Amino acid sequence: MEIQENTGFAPWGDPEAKPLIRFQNVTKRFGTFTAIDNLTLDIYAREFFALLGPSGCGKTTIMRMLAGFEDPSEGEIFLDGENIAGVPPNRRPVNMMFQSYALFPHLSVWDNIAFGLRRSEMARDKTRIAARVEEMLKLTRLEKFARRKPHQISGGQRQRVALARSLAKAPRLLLLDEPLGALDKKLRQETQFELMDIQERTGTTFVIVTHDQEEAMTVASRVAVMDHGKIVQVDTPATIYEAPNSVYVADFIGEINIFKGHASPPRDGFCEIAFAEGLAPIRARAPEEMQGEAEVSFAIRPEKVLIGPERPPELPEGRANAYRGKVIDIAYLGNISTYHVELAGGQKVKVQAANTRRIQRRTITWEQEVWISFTDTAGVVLTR
Amino acid sequence: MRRLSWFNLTSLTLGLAFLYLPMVILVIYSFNGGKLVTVWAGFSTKWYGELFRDEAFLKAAWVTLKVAVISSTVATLLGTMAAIVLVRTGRFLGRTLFSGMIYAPLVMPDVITGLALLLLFIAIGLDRGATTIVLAHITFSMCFVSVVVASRLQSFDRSLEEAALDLGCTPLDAFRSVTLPIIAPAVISGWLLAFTLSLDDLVIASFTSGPSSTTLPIKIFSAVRLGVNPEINALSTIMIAIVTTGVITASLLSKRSIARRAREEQEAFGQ
Amino acid sequence: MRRFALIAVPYLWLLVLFLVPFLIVLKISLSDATLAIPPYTPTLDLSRGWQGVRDWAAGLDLENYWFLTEDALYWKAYLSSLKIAVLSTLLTLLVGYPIAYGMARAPDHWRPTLMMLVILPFWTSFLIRVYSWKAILSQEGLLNQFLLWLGVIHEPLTILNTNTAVYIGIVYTYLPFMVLPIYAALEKLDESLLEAAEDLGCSRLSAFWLVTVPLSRQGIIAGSFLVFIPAMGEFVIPALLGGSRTLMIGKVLWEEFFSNRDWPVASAVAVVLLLLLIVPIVLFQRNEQKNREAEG
Repeated sequence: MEIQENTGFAPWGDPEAKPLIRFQNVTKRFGTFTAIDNLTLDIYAREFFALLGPSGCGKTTIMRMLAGFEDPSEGEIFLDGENIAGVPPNRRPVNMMFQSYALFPHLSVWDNIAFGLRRSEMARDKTRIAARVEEMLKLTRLEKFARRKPHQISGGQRQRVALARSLAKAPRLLLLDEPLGALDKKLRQETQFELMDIQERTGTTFVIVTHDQEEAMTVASRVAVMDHGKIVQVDTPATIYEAPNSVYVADFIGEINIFKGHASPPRDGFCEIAFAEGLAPIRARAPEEMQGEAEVSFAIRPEKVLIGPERPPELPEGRANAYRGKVIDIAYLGNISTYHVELAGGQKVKVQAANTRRIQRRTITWEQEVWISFTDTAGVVLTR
Repeated sequence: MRRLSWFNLTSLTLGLAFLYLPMVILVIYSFNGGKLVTVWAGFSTKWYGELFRDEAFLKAAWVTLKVAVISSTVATLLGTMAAIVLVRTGRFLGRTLFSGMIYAPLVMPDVITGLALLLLFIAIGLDRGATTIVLAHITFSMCFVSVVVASRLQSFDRSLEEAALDLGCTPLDAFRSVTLPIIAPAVISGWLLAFTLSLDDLVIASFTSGPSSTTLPIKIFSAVRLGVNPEINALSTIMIAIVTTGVITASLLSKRSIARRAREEQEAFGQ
Repeated sequence: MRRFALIAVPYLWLLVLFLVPFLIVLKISLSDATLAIPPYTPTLDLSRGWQGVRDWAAGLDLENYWFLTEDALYWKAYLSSLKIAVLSTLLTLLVGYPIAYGMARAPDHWRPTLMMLVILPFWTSFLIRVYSWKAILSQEGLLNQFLLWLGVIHEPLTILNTNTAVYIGIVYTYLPFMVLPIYAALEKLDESLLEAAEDLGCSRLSAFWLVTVPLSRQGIIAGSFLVFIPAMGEFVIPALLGGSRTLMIGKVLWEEFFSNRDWPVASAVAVVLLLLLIVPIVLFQRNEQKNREAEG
C-alpha cells in the first residue's frame, strides 16, 4: 500500500532515476559482531533521508561507512555510480555533522567554518574563502558570533556552527548524526524546520541518523526503519505511519494497539480476526500477501478508535467493529486525552480523543462502561 | 555555603604546617649570619655571596640546567610519540612489552635504573659525562611524559579528529592542526615534569656521570652528607623561590582562565 | 610507514636504554668479581666465535645469589627495608587521610589553592626537602631546642641518624603521593550518601566507617602503593637522615657498588630487589586498571 502525498518529489518511484548512493549487499562485521547485515539501499539526490532505529541497530555504522571512517566487510557502496571503497574521508565529497558537533575548541566560529575550505581547491584564494564563510554565517544566522570560540556560544548556536562547517564545502552528501539530540525539546522543534529549510535552499542531499521517530517523521522525505543491522521498511513518513509492514515498525513509530489473533481466509479483500473468546472478530482489510487463514496481528492507532457512552449507530452497515469495555485510566494531555479501556476478554485498548469541549462538559470518566469502535479500514493486518 | 568543621580545619592546618615548616625554617636559616646553622647569629646575606663566588657550584648548576633542558625536550618528543602509540595504534608485535617498558620506569627504584644504565654505558664503551646523564634522564622521564600525555589523549574526543579528516585533512595534518593544539597543555606539563625530574635527580646522575660532569644534586649531596651547610641553605632558598614563583604563577593563570571560561559559558548560556 | 616509524623510535629507545641494561645486570649478577676492568669475569668475547660464547655461558653461576643468603647483612637489609617501607606507608596513610579528607570537605573555592599547596612540595627538590630535616632533627636542632624549652624533655633526644628520622623523612617526602589519590576518591564521593546513611540511622562516625572509607578504598590502595614501592628502594633518605645502623637495601646496593666495587653482588642485590617489587607493582597496575575500567 502506498499512501499518496501531495509533494511531487518522489525519485524513488521513478525507474529511470539514478541513485546518488547505492548500497549493494553491504555487510559490516566488527569481530564476530555483525553491525550491518546484507544491506541494499538506494538514496537519491536532494533527498532528506532518515535512518531510524534504536541504539545499536547499525544506523551509525551506515553513516560512518558513507563518511569513510569504516569500510564494508562485504559488498559495495557507490556514490554517483563510483565504488568508494578505500577512498579516505578527506577525499570524499561527503561531509558529516557530528553528534557531539566536534567543534574545534581552539578555533573561533569563523575558523571552524573556514577549516574545510582551507583544505579544498580554494585553499589559496582567501577572498573566496572569506566570501563562502560569510555566506554560511548568514545562512545559519551566526554573523554576530563569528569571532567567538565554541565555549562562548549556546548549545543551539553550536549546533548551527557544526551545520555551517559541514555545509561550507558544498558536499554532494551531508551526513547528520543525531543532529538535534543535544538540544532541548522546544529548540529541537524549531531547529527541525530550520534544517528542512536549509536542505531545500542548498539542494544538498541529507542523510540523518536519529532514534527519535518524531524527528524522522518531521524532517525526512523517506525513512528507513532499522533493527539489528537490517532495514525493516523504507518508505515515506506517511506510509510508515499508516501502513507499517511489520509489528516492529508499527510499534516503533508512535503509539499503537496490537490485537493478536487468528485470521480467516480473506474474502473480497477482507478477513475476520478472532482475538478473544466470546467477542466478535475484528473485520479488517486483508493484506495482499495473505492467502488462506493465518496467525496475524491487527494494529490500530489510538486516534483511529472512537469512544462513546453508547453503541455507535452502525455506519456504514456491517463495516464497523464495536466492543464494550470499561475505562480504567484517563491521561489528560491538554489538547487530547488518552483513555485506557479494558475489553471483556481482558484486552486493553488505548483510545485518543481530541478535547473539543471544556473539561466540565466531558462525560466519560473512570470505571465507566463505554463503547469503542473503528471501521474496517482504520487498522492494518500484519503477518510478521 | 559549606564550612569546615574544627576537625577538618585542624587536620588541614597541621598537615600543611608539617609540609611547609621544614622548608620555611630552611629559608629563614639561609639568612643566618653564623656558621652554626642551629644558632641564630643575626640577619645576613653572606652565604648567598659565598654561593655565587663558588665556581664549582656555578659550573654544576650550568651542567644541570643544560642536561635538564636537553633531556626534557627530547623526552617530551619521545614520550608524546609513545603516548600516541599507547592510545592510538592498534595491535602490533610486542605491544605488551612496549607498555610494560613505559610503565616500569615509573616505579623502578632509582638505584636499579642507575646501575643498569651505567653497566650498559660501560659495556658499549661510552665515556661517562653529560651525554650519558642526558641519555639516562631521557629514558626515565620520557615514560612520565607519555603517561601524562596518554591520559589526556584518552579523554580526547576522537570525533574532533574525525571531523578534521572529514573536512579534508590528511591524518598528519589533522594531528598537527587539531590534536596537538588541544593536547598542548598536557605536553607542556609533561615537559615541566621531565625538566623537574632531571633537575632533581641524584641517584641516576651519580651512577651515570663522569668526573667532569658533576650536577647540582650530586654537589649538594656530597656537601650535606655529613652535616648542615649554610651555603646549601642559600642555594635551597633560591631553588624553592623559583619553584614557588613558577607554581603560584601557573596556578593563578589557570585559575583566571578557568574563571573566565566559566563566565563566558554562563553568558553564552543566557543568549 | 609513518606508523612504523612512530612505533619504532620510542620502542627502540626503550629496548636499548631500558631492557638491554637489565639483561646486562642479570648477566653480571651471574658472573664473578675480579680485580680487573671491568671488575667481573667472564666477559663475552665474540671474536672467539662460538667457543667464546660457550666459555662465557659456562662461567655464569648463581654464586652471588648464594652469597646473598649466606651473609646476614643482605637478608637483614631486605627485611629491614620491607619493615621500614610498610610502617612508613601506614604512617603516611595516617597523616595523609585526614588531610585529604579535610581538602575534600573544604569549600569549593578553597580547593584549587589547597590542591596547589599539596602539589607544590612535589615540584621542589626532593633532596632539599630531605635535607631540610637535618637542621630540625639534630642533637642541637630546632626540635630539641623547642622540646627543651617546653620542658617536655631535659636531655636532647637523638633522632637524626636513627630509623625514626628515616620514617619522618619518608612520610614527609611521600605525603603528596598519598594525599592526592585519596583526595581524588573522596572528592567524587556524593555527600548525599552520608546524609542517606545518617538518615537510615548511622551515627556520624559509623557513616564514616561504613560509607566514606569503603568508597575511598581505591584511593587508599593507590596511595599506599605509590609510597610503598619507592620507599622500598629508597637511597637518599636513609643516606641523609639514617645512621650507620639503618639498613636499607638501596643504600646497601649503592655501597656495594661504589665502595666495595663488587659489581656482581650489586647486580644480584638489584635483581632480588626487582623480584621483590614485581608483586606490589603488578598489584598496583591491576588496581589502576580496575580504576580505569570503573571510570569507563
